[in-house]
Amino acid sequence: MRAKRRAAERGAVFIEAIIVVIFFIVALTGVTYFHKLYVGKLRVMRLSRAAALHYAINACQGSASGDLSAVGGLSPGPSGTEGNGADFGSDPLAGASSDAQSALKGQSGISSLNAQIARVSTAGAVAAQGGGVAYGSKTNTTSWVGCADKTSNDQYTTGLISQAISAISEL
Amino acid sequence: MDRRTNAQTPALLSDSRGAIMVMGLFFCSILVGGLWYLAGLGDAMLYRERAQEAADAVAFTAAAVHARGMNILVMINLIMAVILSIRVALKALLLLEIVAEVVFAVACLDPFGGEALCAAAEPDGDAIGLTQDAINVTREPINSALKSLADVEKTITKVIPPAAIAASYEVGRKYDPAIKLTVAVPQPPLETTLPVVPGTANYLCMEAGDVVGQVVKDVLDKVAPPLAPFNAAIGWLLDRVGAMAKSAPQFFCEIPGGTPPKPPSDLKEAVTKKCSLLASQQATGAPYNTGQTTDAQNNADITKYTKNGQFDQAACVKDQMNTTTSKFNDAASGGDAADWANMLPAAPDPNYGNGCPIADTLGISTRDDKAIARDPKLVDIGHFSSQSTSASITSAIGAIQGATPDGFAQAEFFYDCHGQWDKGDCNPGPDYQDAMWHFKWRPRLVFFNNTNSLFQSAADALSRAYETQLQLDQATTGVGVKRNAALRSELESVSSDSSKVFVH
Repeated sequence: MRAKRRAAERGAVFIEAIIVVIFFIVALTGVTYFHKLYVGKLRVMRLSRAAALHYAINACQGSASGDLSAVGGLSPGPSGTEGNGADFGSDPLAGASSDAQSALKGQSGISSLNAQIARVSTAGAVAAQGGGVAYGSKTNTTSWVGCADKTSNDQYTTGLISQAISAISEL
Repeated sequence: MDRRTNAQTPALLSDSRGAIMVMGLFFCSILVGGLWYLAGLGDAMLYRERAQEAADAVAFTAAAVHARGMNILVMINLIMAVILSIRVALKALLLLEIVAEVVFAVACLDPFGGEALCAAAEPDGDAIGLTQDAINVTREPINSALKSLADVEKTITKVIPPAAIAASYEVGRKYDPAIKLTVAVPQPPLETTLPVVPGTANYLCMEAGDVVGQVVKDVLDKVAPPLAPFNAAIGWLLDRVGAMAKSAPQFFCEIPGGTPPKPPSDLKEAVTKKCSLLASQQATGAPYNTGQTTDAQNNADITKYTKNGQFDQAACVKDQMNTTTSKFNDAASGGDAADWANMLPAAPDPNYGNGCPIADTLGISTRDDKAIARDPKLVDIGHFSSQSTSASITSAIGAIQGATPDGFAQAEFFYDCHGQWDKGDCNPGPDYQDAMWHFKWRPRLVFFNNTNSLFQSAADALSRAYETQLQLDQATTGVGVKRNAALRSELESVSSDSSKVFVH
């Protein structure tokens, strides 16, 4: 009778252990996921911010995707692994878009010089797996910054004329 | 009853069922708490990153607008030079025509091969009159245009600073609601005016002389390819015009107080040659009879300089030079009425140089507590403080908690050149104006420098930032906001305590 009862307790401990271990696996995978999520979010935010600044410094001309590459030294290979170890489930450049918009024009009613605002949106995906449990989510962010002017060494032929054309076209 | 209890106690102690579950639940609770804490920490990190990004964005945007203002002033300066170059070109043409008149007169006296040039003498005389008329006709329009452009420049220097704040406000608003307050605080002088002063008329005239050379040469390159073989000669001629304009800007631009350029030395040689030829003709005893329209004038000159049957060559040279010089002087007249004090281009403020504090703008951002609702304490720990600041501010967009900004950034506009400010391709002496003649003004973020005079009083910077925010809120929402003296006092109290102002 006593031996039978002890055997039953061992089974109960086994079941409890399985339940607790499963919960632990889920929670620990969650910890890993949160770690990757915030690292990934930080990475995307910094990429976006750096690309927006780079894009703005270059007078909001060209491609912001190129600016992303310029500031991040991105080389997203087939594995989608970033140089800093942040693991992206997909190409972090996917979904990156940029444009320069005349946001000051008629949006706030504040008088302005029709300054352009660079907007760079960057997206990435984060995933974590463990013990058959998988978490995943997409993260994205948008950065804004005012565009700088294009500079020129030439005073008149390209400098003055191009500036004048630019000023007229923005009216 | 006691017996049953006594009998059950050993059984409970010896029963291990559920023991793992109890421990598991305990540790799982700790794990869940840890997860919550981790999420709060992550939120705090992301929030601080976002706050810094917003501060960077507003500071950079304000600096970009400031730089654009400087480039606009450069553009207007160049337009002023282009307009004034019309006068420089006409004056240069007039000089060339006066010199040519003497040269052609000599050709008329040369019996061997000078007929073709002599034939140009009369049209050249007419051209002198036409050029002088053109100078007279264009005088007032050019002066008016220069004055108007100088007025526009003065307006731009006043409009750009508030426009920079407005632009940065617009950019900062895009970080709403995560970031509740973003504002740019320029250095006090930069709040009201760009760092420029009136330049000099002489420098404007020098640039106008360059325009004649540069623009005409470029136009000839593109519009008149058939003249390509003569590009070198044309370039030489235009360079001489530019050099003359630089050597005697008062004459070419009609700036009062100047003297006309001295006639070239080879002009005296030409006059001497002319008088020598007149003397030779007088020696033959026969009058000029070449059929040219200048015969009568030449014969009159022979009569004029002949005394007692002898041709006085010295008197001839002196008189002819005086006549030519008087024409130079006549060409220099006519500009005394110009109001040059109000026609001057913009020049860099003598107190400005790349990296100088007067070009700095501070970007400030602060939080919306909802964004870090999971654990606001962690954000405060991120401020290296365990206590949250308590000051608050009420504006038309609602209450803003926290007087200590979470993001600080510093940006400036600069002139993109190499080396020292007053040397090389930056803003070299002796004029120190060149920086306002090239489209090379750019914005940049710089390391935060809390020794900068702008930030020596953090309280002043912050209170001005919040006041700016209130004014902008009022401007955009139309809702009146009362000035809060108590709030200002509280802000100053909070931010004057260095332990509560953290810079990262």
